[in-house]
Amino acid sequence: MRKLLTAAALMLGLTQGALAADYPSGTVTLVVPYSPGGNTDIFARHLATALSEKWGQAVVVENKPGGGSMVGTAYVSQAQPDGHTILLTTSAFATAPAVYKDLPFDPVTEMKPIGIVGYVAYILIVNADTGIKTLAEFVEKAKGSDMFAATAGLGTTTHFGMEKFLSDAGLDLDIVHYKGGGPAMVAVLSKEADVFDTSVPTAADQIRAGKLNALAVMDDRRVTALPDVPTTTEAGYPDVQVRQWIGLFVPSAVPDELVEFINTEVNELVLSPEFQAVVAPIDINIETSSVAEVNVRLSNEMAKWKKLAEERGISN
Amino acid sequence: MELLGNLGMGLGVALSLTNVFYCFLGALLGTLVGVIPGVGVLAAISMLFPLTFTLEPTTALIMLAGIWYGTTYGGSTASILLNIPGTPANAVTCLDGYPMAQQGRGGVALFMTTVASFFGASVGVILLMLFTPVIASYALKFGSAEYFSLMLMGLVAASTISDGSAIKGLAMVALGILFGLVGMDTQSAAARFTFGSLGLLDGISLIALAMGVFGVAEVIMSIRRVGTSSIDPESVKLKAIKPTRDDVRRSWMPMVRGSTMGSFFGTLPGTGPSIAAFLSYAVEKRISKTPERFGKGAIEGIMAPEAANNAADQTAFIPTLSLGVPGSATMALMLGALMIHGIAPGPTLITSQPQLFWGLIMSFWVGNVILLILNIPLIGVWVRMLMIPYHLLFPSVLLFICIGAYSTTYNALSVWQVCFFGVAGYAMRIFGFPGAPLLLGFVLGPLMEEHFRRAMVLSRGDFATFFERPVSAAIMAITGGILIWGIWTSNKLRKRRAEELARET
Amino acid sequence: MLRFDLKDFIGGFILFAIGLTAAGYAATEYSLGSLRRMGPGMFPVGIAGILAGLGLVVMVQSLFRPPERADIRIWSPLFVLSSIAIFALTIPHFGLIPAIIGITVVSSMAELKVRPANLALLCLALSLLTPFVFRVCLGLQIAMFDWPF
Repeated sequence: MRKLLTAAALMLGLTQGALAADYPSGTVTLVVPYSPGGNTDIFARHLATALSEKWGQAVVVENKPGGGSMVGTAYVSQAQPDGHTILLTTSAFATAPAVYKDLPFDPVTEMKPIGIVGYVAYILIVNADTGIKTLAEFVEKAKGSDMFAATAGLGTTTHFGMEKFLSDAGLDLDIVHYKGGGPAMVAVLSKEADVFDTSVPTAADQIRAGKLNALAVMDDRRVTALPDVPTTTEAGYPDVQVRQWIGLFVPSAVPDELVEFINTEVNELVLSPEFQAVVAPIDINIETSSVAEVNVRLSNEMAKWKKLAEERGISN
Repeated sequence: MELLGNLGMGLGVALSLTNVFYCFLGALLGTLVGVIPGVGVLAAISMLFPLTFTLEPTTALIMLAGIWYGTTYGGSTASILLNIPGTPANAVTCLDGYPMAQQGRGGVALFMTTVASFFGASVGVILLMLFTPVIASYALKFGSAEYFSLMLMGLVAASTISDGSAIKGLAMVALGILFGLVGMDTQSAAARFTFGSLGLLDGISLIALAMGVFGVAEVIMSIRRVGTSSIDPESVKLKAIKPTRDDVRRSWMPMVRGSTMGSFFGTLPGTGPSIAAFLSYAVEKRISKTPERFGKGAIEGIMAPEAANNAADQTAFIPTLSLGVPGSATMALMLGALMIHGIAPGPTLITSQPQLFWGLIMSFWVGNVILLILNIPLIGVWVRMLMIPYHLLFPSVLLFICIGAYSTTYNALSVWQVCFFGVAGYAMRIFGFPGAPLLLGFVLGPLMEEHFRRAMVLSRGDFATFFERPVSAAIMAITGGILIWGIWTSNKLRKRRAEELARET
Repeated sequence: MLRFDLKDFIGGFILFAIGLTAAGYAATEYSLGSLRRMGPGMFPVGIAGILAGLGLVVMVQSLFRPPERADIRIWSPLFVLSSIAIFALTIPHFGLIPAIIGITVVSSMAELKVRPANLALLCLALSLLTPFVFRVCLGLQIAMFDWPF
């Protein structure tokens, strides 16, 4: 009996090993749930090029935009679970489900993460004409005022980042949703809205041009593009940590063995100096983690955003 | 003169052998994409986007931009010859372009729209050259209240865009807005009118709607009706492109007005060539002393929109390059081409990347001249398309429409949408409902809702915001003026008609 | 013989029905919100209401207008629309070339006249031209043949 079990286990191990060894046996598709041209899309295309060199198989990027990334995510959840269709998405994977009620699929049970491979830091910005230079000044001025806080849309990372900051700082600003980060930044430039949290590459040039003031990086590390801007940790809001990360996901029926294999391969690749040099222009910081770490981090994050959504009454 | 120095340097960049080659390639592909109904510029640029990874950023941008404005040049061809818009921005050109072709003046129409395209583009490029920073700062004056007022003015101005009953036109605008609301609501994340379909979360495809309502319906109506024998062989000769003195006289002011309106709408993120073309047509029809000529081959009705959409194509680069804010998905791709190479667009782009900025702008001149030279001899080729028997032509048109729709999403749902809007378009033809207002409502509706709701959030629920903010108030006043004038002139027209009728009987 | 414009009456009624249905659906399914923070339902309800109203006006107007002959055909639209449907069904499962042949053959029948030689040539020409334009010039990523077996 034991022999049989061992044999079965061996065979299972063997088939799974064989699965990883065979992988990829055909074209691998990286599905990006955003329109082409954005940061995530560009990252995906660099990754696809590097992976196809490494694996000797075609790796292509397919854009499935819409529904705040949920269209593409749902598309992958219905794909063949053979690891040849991989979702490359952002932290919207964790934020959007907290507010989107009528999703036709369950991202928690139907998808599983391979790994988080990079992130873009967020900064809080105000119009330079306000003269506000630090986070402390802003909080003082904003208390009891009738200011507006802009977001790039309901359920986006910028929305939750803003809510988290407002909640921790005890502020009660009115939230205004814009259709994307660009229009939200314009709103701050034109003083229609007063504060916005945006990704560093989007606003860096406006900050250098003296049109916008950066109050704080919403992270525990300063960013190289704007070395003088303090972090939220330094400014006394250690819990306001908002990273727009980039992660890889597959349908949950993909064998764990294969997920581990892809995780190792991708981590090795993104840590290589060649890859880091390629993605440096788009201001994406590389990070890597094991599958187990990502699972913990993801469920923590999803729980955190869900709780925040309930506390702040964010819903449709 | 610093400007002259910059222009000289830009011209140097634009005239380098590589850049001229890619500019030509872009313009050629753009014309091709424009001529084929159904293939949108966004789909075309998305497909070619990967090329930009290996090219120099300036070269990449020059090529992508060439496709972008080349499409608008080519787009009028199918509008005029087949009554099927090559791109949604050329839909309004059908209204008078196709009647011109039926009168044997297709060559003239193609030639004159090429001229209008070049004229409009030139105005846009001149503005881009001289006033980019000024215009960018003035675009910032447009908040949500102003946008809403502007959209409202557009709808009021355009309510009589098609012949026939204004009520029917307005009903189609409303229906178009409803179609525009399908998809995920950005302000609340509610999925509206999607009925559980994932693909509809991203909304109805503009290409599918335009191609269904205009293209498929037109094919259905023309089958077994259009014969090649009815076309005068003289009218397809190259010399038939020569406009009459009257054509030229009538074209000047519409081109100037169209370019002005196009330049304006191009600079506002979110609006663009389609809206500009529609509204400039509406303006021409409104201020014309003989509005009854419109829809029957009035040359003003093709000159204004074609100048407008090309001007808007060029000025769309102003917010994109100087604010770093793309006005459309296509412009986001252009920004992407810069970001790949680590260039962050924004107010310092002009000073930090002068080679790129001035090179790109001067390449617009190169590209537009190429397009002019390319398009005039092509007119002879296109006009001959009318000699192809319709039974060979229409299956090809349907095929291109379907592939075009499919290529925007790689999802069969888009093709089903073409089918759905084909049914709707055919029904509209039967019941005598115009298609152009439907398309306008579809484009304007979501913008109107977004800005109205945001304006109400920002004013904390106070309607007065639309009349208190000076720019918005001014637009609202003009809107009121257009309304009153419209009622007055239509009364006058009705009286005149009644008198004529009385005289006849 | 009808003394009013039945065509406009039906057209108006269809719009009225669409408007009413959409307004009812939006009002029950989506929250209206307040003016200060409008919900996803308010704008659709308003627009659909306007559409229903305009449809009603078209209906009323038709009663005072002499009839106009409607131009309705059945077979041509049916073939054209089914050819598009065939394209939609074919392309995701069988690839581009079968979809081209499907749409060309079926839509050609809309002429209500079959020209076998012409049709064969057209299929061949389009099967060569389309991949050239879309694959070679534009780099479209569609499989030419994609047999599911």
